[in-house]
Amino acid sequence: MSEVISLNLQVWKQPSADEPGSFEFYSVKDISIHISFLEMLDVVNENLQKEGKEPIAFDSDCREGICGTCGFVIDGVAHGPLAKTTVCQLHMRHFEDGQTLVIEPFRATPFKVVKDLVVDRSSFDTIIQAGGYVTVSTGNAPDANNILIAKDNAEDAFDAAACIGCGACVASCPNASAALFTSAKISHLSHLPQGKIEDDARVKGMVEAMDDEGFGACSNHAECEAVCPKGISISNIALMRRNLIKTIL
Amino acid sequence: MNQISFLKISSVLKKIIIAVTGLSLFLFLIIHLLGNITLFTGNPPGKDFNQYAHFLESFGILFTIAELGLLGFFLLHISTALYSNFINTSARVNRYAVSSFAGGKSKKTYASQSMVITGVVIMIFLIWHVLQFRLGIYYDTTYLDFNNGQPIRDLYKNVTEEFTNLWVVAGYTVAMTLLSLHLGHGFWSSFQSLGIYGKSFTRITYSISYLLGTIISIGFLFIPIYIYSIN
Repeated sequence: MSEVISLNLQVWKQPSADEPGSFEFYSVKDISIHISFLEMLDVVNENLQKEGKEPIAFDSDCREGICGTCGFVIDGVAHGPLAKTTVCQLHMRHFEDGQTLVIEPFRATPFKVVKDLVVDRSSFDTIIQAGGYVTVSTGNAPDANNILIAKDNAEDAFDAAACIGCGACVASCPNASAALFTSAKISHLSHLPQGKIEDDARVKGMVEAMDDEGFGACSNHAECEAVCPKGISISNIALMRRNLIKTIL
Repeated sequence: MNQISFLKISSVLKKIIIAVTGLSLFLFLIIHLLGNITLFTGNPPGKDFNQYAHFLESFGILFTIAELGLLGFFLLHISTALYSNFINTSARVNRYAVSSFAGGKSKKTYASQSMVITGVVIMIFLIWHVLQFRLGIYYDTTYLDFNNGQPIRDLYKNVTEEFTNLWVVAGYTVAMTLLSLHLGHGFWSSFQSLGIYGKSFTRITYSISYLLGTIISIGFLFIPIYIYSIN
């Protein structure tokens, strides 16, 4: 197997949110199969800069799949073809020599394109501000295991807390719904006694904020779970709905 | 509470309304299908069916209330879904150049993505269906041993007349095929919308959902195809 591949990239270029965008074609050669997708884009950008051309703008930070900063859509799948993987952890060995790839930003009305593949996900912050926290008295750190938590609850809370807020769920949803993100944050706190007591206000506030930000409704396509780099389950969406039903009853 | 805030119900609540009405309509379809079995029993043919129809109508005001209730469920289901779809469409104004299926845990199918289209076609079909039979031509018939020999509606005649027309049978075939897709995503999805999730429960309801939709559709479709083929 050859250690290098060539690719044809079709990348979305958009100068700003207010200006129209279009696809640009890039033919890239001698890409090591051992580098990540973002490192491949780094190579492309380096060459573009050498030629005095505008590089492709994309977001990244930790590059180890835990910060949730990176993300775009490769051939219609958020974070690309490999399950439970962010684009920074997606290696070029998963692509074939001569392959053509269409790279687009996460598309949703609340996610305004900042530039090229960079989108503004601050609407997620607005949802968190509407109840994605626990109200605690400040002071000394409480003793560990002061409040006992059953193992199953701790596991479920942790599974939901694994959400890195990258926005792939919104990007992949046919309705651009933020239900998986919002429900993961609700579920994470709802499984723990510290968060449980504020369940009602949290679910009402966060669902309202989610709707107000302009996200669509969840139609249970479960595409979000399939593309989620952390494999967050749609069981969390069911929990969010149960919590909301409880507030009505 | 002004009118706008009254209309502004959460996306989650809208889905709950769609799920509750959807599951109720699903139950109605099963009762309707079971009732249709009387088309194939009775001597002379159609006697059981006409008597069953007469039996339902004999409830009088209760029957009218049930019919209006059913109509209300349909209207609530359709209007909430269309309203929700309008918001969903505006949540992604700029569409993707390439769309794909991620596979794995995804339950996204062509059926799940076309619920509004299949739903609207089924709605048009329902209007036609009601005009054909419930509000169709009034024939009557008498059975010596039923209703004191007084005439009752011969709905069986409407059914056999309509289903000798190839275009009617073709129309029903299209509608029932779309119904199987609509129920296929709708059945399991309704439970998820109501927050009823369990690892095995969801796996089972999802795996039988498309099968149930197909069985119900074939059950209904058997009637026009059978009647057409014997005439």
